Amino acid sequence: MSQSLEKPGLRGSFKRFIVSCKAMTARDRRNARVTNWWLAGWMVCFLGSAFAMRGGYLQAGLVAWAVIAVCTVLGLLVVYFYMRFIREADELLRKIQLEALAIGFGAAFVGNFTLSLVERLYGMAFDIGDLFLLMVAFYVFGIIAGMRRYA
Amino acid sequence: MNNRLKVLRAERNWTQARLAEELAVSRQTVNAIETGKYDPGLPLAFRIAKLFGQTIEAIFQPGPSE
Repeated sequence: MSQSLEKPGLRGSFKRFIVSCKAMTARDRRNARVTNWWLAGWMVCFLGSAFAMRGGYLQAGLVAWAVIAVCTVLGLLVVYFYMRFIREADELLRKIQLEALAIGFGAAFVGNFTLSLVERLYGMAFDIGDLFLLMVAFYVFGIIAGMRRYA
Repeated sequence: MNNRLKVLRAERNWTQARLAEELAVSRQTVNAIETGKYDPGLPLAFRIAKLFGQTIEAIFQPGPSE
């Protein structure tokens, strides 16, 4: 490992993380790229639909349901390609991904009950999107931690 | 678990990247196995043994706690 990777603190950790990502096999990089493109497509569909509905451009009816169906199918395709990515992944990468999923799911699970208590205590109302953000944040944290741990 | 992967690799003058290519895994995986941070699964252990022409037990030994 080069000297710069040995540096303690954030810079060394960041460099180790980047080196780890680049060290993926060609197949894993390709599968990750395919999954990310489908994810981007789903996000564009979802955000576009949400924007259109909020702006009143998309009213309840057949067209709206068709758009929702398209978004749902795109989302399911993301899940399919992500599962393919994990199944075909290098075994260490698969281990890191599964651990990160466990961390993300766990955070959402615990966070759901914690937020429900906070809601009761302060009469606040949390959106389900808040939980999703929490899950994604902890998933990303899990990936970074895993990449660092095995680098 | 202890292993002789680094020694076997050095005997053939291979880089980690070269060994990773031979085993169809990432260089990160090879590095993690050599540094003892990760123990390979059975299919990969068999591929390593076959690549170096040795038994799994000749390459991997249980650690003191195992």
